Amino acid sequence: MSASVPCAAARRRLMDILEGPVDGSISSHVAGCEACSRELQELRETLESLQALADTGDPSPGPDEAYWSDFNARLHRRIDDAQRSDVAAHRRGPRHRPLPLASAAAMIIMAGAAFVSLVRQAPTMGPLSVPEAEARLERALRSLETLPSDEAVLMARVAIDGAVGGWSSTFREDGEAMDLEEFGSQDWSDVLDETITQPGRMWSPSLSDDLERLDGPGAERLRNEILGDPC
Amino acid sequence: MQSTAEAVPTDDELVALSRSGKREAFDLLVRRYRKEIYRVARRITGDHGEADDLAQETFCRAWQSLATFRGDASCRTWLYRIATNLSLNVVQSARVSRREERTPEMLAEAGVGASPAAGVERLMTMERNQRLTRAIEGLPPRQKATLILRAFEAMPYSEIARVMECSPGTAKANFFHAVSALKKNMRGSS
Repeated sequence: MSASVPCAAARRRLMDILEGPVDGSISSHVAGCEACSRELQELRETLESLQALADTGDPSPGPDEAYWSDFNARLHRRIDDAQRSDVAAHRRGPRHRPLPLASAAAMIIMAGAAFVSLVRQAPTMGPLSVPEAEARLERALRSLETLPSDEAVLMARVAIDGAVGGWSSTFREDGEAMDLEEFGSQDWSDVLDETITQPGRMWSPSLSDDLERLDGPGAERLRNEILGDPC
Repeated sequence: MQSTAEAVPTDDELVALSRSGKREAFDLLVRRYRKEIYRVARRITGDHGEADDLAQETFCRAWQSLATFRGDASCRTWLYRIATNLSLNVVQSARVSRREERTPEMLAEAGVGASPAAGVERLMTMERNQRLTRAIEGLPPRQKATLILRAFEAMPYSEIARVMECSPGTAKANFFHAVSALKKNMRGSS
């Protein structure tokens, strides 16, 4: 066993050993340490099992040729339906809709709606170019990184991706495509009521700055709800 | 010597044509990547119905977002990113309740019971694969997606990082944690 490299340091590099050459002192330690050698061997066997599973090919039973021959036609119909929904949503304007109660899903709605609102309502911005809008959304995305839950961040990303993609901001909840642009002020209030339980923990200072610039109906309440006293 | 073979359009060319509204070009892109996209969604969700819906949704969103696709990453990476994010969203919202299990028909198809020696060998392999598949299903979502991209899609860490929107170091660490968790799980259940 090598005295110069502790086991903990060597363990962190075991995958490196399996995937390519590593520092000689690490290799020497593992070669001379029974526990680390065993750990390395078990990792190697797990990787081999994974490789064997991967070699069995695609998940079975896979779709047949009929499935693939119909795939693009179905996609065309889906794209056309989505475009018709967008047009219809713009014509209808804001409307009230039942809200999802799950807090994570509601967080997505709020995140997406907040960012769409940021870009649309801030009086000093005026119409934004796509790069400007993307930059703002990117910044908002970075703000979301401060959320405590990785999963919430990931889900919010989906909402933001939707917001970037042509302002249609759709996502799926219980199989239904929902359009963030359709959210009216009552929806906002309901979402906030559902989700903001620990306001100060959810948002970073940079988003707070953005929120300070908001104007329009509901802006004051939004600021109060989101920025509220973290204590 | 001059080649007479018709040049195959690159992804970038197809994206540019698609952007100008040419569905035929987008169709070609879809044909090029639909099986990969379906496969990764299927592996993450473990469900054909979800994978079908997610593959369709991935290309639908790609079409809607063509105008904002800057080409910083390759088209393939971009599609994988959309598909992976959507798939993780489904897994995290626990909409996938139907786990695919090996049915007696599938066991028969694998040759189990047909010839004793070969059958036993295949049964053991199948049993090990099933345990491994279940262990993969139990991984935290981001580790699971990273493992699938690395082990099943043979992606380098740099591309996984672009798909998962993290650093290559994080991608590598996620893979290591995933493999370590599988190792522990397999050892515990053997």
